[in-house]
Amino acid sequence: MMNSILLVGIAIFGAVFTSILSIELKQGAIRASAMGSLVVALYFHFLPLVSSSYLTQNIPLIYFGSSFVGMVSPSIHPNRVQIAISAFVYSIIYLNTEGIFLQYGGRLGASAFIGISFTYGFQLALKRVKFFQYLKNK
Amino acid sequence: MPRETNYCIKSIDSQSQFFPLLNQLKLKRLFHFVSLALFPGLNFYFLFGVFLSRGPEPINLLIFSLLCIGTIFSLKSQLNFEQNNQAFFSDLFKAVLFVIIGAVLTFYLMLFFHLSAAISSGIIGLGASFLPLLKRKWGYATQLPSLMYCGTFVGMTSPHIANGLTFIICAGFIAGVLFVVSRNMFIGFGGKLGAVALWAVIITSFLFLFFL
Repeated sequence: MMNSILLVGIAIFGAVFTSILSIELKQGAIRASAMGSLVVALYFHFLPLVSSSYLTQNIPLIYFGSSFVGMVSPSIHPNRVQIAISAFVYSIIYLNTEGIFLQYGGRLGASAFIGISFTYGFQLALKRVKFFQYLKNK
Repeated sequence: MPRETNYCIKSIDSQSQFFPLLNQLKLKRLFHFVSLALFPGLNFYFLFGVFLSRGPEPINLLIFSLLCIGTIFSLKSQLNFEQNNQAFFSDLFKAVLFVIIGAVLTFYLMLFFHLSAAISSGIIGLGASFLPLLKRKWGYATQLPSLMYCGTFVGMTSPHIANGLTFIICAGFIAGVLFVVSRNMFIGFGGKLGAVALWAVIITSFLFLFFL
């Protein structure tokens, strides 16, 4: 359970950090994603956690996938709360993909895409609900 | 006439010579509907595999339904068909070539240097992100990072699934075609490149399973 909470936290941090690198530090989405993922993957490659091989194996992967969430354009997710929600959904999918599509390239990207589609879809739907329009106008 | 417009018209003319039965508008509409089917289709297939393949437990069913509903809502923004003068076939060759290059380089880094998939993809992606510096000499260089990064996801496929270079080249080819077909859809969605790569790897593994 603690491992799962830690991985969810890392996913949210990874997505928000990539977004900051990409937009505010103007590195571009691909460099932000590749650079952050490379640093995290190299760190755990050379300094693996002795206490938990599960975390050593999964932290670079979940960070790598969450960096795709952070690559989202500001026109889709204008603020960091939406990025964090997408990263949370992504991490739920990641934690459930044990043994499924495990060795397929693009698995992490597809999970991130679903996370972003979910948040964006509900964001569009909630804009239509009159109660939320009322709250926004207030 | 600006050089860019001239280029587009020329390329469209040359395309209509190769594809006389399909005019550009029909072709673009076809690509639009293919993309509309492609991404939600992958989402449903992937989510079904992840949440429902172990049996329909109530919590998994709930998460599956919510994620599917979110995906359907997100389609609403993609329904408008936008006409533009972007040429498809002139870019197809370059797109396929660079996706394959990214895939093969990543696969070889994993295979021969025994690096993990994330490190291999990160190295190629980071290298590719500097290619737009060449844009003064070659305008197309600005497109290379996303093409090569898409290729790296294809190359991340485990050697247990991709049993050789032929698989990676074939998957890279399909990913390049899907990339060009879907480039006017889901713009700015993170993970789109990965979704394209996953489709390409799934299609290729089915092709290899049934035909080879």
